[in-house]
Amino acid sequence: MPYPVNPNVMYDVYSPTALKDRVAIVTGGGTGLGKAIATEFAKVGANLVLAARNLARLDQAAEEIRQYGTKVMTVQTDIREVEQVRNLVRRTVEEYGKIDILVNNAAGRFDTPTENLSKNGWYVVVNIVLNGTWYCSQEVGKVMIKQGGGNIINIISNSAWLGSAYAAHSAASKAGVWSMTKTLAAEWGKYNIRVNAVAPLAPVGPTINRSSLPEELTQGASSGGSNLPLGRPGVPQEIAWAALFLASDASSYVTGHGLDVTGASWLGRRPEAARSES
Amino acid sequence: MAYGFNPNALLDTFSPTALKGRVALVTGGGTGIGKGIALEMAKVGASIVVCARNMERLERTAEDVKVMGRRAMALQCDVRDPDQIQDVVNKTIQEFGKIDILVNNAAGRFNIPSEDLSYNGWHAVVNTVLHGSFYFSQAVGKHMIERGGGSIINIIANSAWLGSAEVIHSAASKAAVWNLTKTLGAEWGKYNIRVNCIVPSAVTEWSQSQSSPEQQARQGQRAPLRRAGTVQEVGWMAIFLASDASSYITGECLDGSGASWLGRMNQASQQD
Repeated sequence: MPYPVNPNVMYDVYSPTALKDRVAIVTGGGTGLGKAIATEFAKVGANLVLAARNLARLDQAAEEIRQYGTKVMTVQTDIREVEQVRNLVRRTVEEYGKIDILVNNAAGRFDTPTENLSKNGWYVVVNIVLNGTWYCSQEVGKVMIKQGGGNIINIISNSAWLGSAYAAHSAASKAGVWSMTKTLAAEWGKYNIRVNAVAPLAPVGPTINRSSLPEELTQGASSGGSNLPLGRPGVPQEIAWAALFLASDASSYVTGHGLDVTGASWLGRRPEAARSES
Repeated sequence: MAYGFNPNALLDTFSPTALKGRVALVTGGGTGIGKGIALEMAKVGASIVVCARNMERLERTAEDVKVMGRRAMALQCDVRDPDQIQDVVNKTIQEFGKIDILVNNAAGRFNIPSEDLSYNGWHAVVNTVLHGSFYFSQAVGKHMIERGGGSIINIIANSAWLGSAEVIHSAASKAAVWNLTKTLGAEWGKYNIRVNCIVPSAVTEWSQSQSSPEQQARQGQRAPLRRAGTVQEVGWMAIFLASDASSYITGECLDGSGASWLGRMNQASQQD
């Protein structure tokens, strides 16, 4: 039996005031994990700014999230463009007066054998994940320094410390973001800015192009996760709850940390699963 | 908007029912981090059993919990003795019916050049930290397997990955407990048991042995967050790991050291 998810974490575990009146920017906030994070944050009182390239999906997500009673603004942003990032920051400060939380979630990846990865393909992913996270962190960081503090959460993945076969560009970028997390934690602690990362199990989300993967990998990926230590993959809310902990005051002495939300999946499979394969 | 330490963080963030109905057993629960964790967990609904060698301090912790309206029990235990451990487990189950959370916090350390460390000195610390954590994890783990789940939290230190000059026995033991955390995280997931560890801030940890409050304050001012960590903050991390909000986190080490060691490595705090 897989490890259960408690559908009432809100508000058996978290208080509805956990992020009350905080302003959070979530990049890639219109879909997938970004949307899940924004939603959970809204449930505990945060006002949101959702940023991504696709405005229609952002507006749709905003509509859904507003039902929890907080304000949600959408700003079309390609984080590879510094001017667009500056615009995102400017619009947020104009609307809300501050930026308490930045969730660097926007990413991109596709799978391909590394010997076939084109220069363009490499650069597209590195530009979004590494450069984009850098631009957002620096522009928002300047605001946070002025206002006396803040909180940055970088969504990476366990590929940051393990590498990721067939996704060299994504893993290298995530590792770069992980390093940046530590640098900024060491440097910006004195400004009351905490900087942490959350590592879900790679890959996450619908960006995988399975047809380019070798067969043995796709077979493992579709097993449903019953051979994972917790008997299943994680659900986006569980990653969001980890991000929420890092954004909240309850983690006030946690900075420079990469929180692993992979259910020990990279540490091994359930012993009987491993035995039955040998 | 204030940033930094919020003395009301616990109930601003967590519901008062976050650990309602759960029974938490905290080793080394009479002082410092163990006591801090016990009190914070009680504030969000847990019943508490604390054990340690010193009954007087333990009883004070149990009293503090009872004053909050929660159930508590203090049991004497030397974690180097598996029979005493089994006795604590049996008495807890007898009194409370179950154990939901185990916090392996009991530890021991002292500073000594490695060339001068005696056989007895080595074993005293390794027995307490490593063997104690394993025996307790196994004794409580068997119960959790029968019951269908639970949460184990090991308190280690960043000496686990950095080593620690003149504290070789403690650092090696903490590293081993970190490793044990990963093994059990991978193994016991199938029993609905999650196993994680916490690295508290170095200053909080040192408060248990060597430093005066003045020394702690000075060390804190050099840290990236420009202050020392508190035992309450360790308690809040433990609550997160014990709660359902961390349901996909196991085999993980939560670094609550405020990047103090990163600051030292980067010499960032020394340039300001």
